[in-house]
Amino acid sequence: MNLIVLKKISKIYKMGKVEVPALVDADLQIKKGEYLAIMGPSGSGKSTLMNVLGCLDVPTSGEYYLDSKDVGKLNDVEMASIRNQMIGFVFQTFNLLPRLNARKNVELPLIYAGVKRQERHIRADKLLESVGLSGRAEHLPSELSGGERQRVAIARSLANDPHLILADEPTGNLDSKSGEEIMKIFDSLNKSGVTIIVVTHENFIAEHADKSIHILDGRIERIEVHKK
Amino acid sequence: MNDFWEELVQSLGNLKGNKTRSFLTMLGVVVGVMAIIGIISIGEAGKLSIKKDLESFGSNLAAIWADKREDTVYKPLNNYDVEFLRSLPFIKDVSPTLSLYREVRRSDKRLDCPIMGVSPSYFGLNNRHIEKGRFFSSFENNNFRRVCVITEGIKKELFERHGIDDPVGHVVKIGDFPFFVIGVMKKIELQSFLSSFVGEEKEIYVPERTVKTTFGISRINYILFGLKEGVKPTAARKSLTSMFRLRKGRNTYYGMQFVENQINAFSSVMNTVTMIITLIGALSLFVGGVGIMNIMFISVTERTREIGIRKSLGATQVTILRQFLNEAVILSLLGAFAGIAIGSLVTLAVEGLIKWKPYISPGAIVLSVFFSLIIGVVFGIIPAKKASALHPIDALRYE
Repeated sequence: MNLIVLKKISKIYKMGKVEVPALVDADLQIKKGEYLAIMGPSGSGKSTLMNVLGCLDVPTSGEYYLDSKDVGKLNDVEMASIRNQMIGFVFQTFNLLPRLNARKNVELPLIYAGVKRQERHIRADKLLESVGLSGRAEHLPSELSGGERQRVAIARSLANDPHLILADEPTGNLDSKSGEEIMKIFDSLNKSGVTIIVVTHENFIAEHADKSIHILDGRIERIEVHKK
Repeated sequence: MNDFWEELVQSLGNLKGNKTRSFLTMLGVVVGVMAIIGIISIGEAGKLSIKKDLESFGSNLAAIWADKREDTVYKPLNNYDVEFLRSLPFIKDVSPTLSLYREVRRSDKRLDCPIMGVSPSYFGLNNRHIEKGRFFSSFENNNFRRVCVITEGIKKELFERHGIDDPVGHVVKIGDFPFFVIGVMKKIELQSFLSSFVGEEKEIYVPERTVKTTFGISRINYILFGLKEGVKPTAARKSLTSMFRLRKGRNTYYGMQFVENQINAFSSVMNTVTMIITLIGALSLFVGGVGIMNIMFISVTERTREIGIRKSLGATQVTILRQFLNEAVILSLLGAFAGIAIGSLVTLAVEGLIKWKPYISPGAIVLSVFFSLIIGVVFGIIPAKKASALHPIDALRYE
């Protein structure tokens, strides 16, 4: 069953009077439980594709069905609820809130989901434990290493048991050892049934996925299936 | 999202992260609230003390005197008018007042001073009290007794300076006639600034009938009278005017003054002054509000990325709006509480300095909390709207 269906999705940015196409007529289907890499050089439109998939950005034209829901017809509250419940984001720059400690950062999606304080606390600690950070709950992001920060971010993305993890260059700011650890977490998450889409421009990251989608100048060039 | 406390804790955390800025932002509100608390409290305390002073003269006290206008003739008041006033159902007490200047002597000390011829009810009407001895009685008045009640100034000049502490029982000569001193009047004690208008009294009070027979003077300067409880000054003035026209002729004119009217006039002046100054305080609160709005705009810009992150995690527009509105309201309320605390201390200090009863207006506290709340919401809503309307991806990309 398809979790994601894109039909002729285009995104065009207006820079003054010039129109810059970032994504052109993208057609794509992603099944539940799939592990996908989006590849391409910088400026190719891979981040735009990921933002559209994550309901962070609205396409200029085309249709996007997420879990059979027409995303184009949703209002602000419904979009927010999808970002909260269905999708977990992992960013290259981690995007943790600097003034909140690791636990509070992980609790944020739970707060927006209306989970009670006690339960939030317990769930956040469990999530931190699952990414190997049980002793770090009280630490501020600035007191953690890059790899640890990204693991907090992953714990946060998993807070509401999402169907889909979207990771935008998750290892881009990490050394290769930490990067490898992060990818191992994604691998095991995928084994437990979570759909994972990783945006990257590095082959050894993409090889973790089942398939790679290659994007160039806003167009999906080819889909490569990895043999493992 | 229903976790109000979590929202509050996070807002407080954000404000704490920018301590200096939060404090400076609040300053405008603090000053505004201080002004409102101080001005209203001191204004009300002053009003109360002045009102009390005016009432200490007897709030239902009134006076009537013969006057002359362009188209009227002067027709003095006489004993029949006193008796007439005494007979009116809405008048409680009456005392004619005759005043004259005479030399007053005791052995070789001399003093020129006003002699007041009054009836015994004068003292009650004016709320005056005796310090030593007694007031004179109706019997003494009716029998033209040469007795007198002296005031503070006379006691000092003619007695205390020459080693006599208790003037009661001594004799003074008023003009050529000896009078027994039977009492010393207590000083008028006022707590408001009105006291500066009341100097040391240097009058001598003598029964009015004694004045008439002894000094051959019968011109009544004015008649003091007290209105009965519940009688409105305006109504009294109206009926007295028409009655005196009937009695004295259509071409006469009589002036009247009512203490109650004076109190009301004074109160309304004070109210206007308080209102104007409160308005100034409100204006400074408004300026404080603009300060809050400015800082909130800066804060929204600085935290664009945070807004993006929160939206990517499932925050709705309403959630973000509420977060920033909370911060604005907390800022203005904290400012209000600080302003109330500091303003109250300053007010109490000022009141202590001018020796008034300590008083903080509860109305002013309610007013300033209410005002600050409104200002927090009104000036917080625009930046909060701006924050909530940000597109998630634009906010996330913001550097």
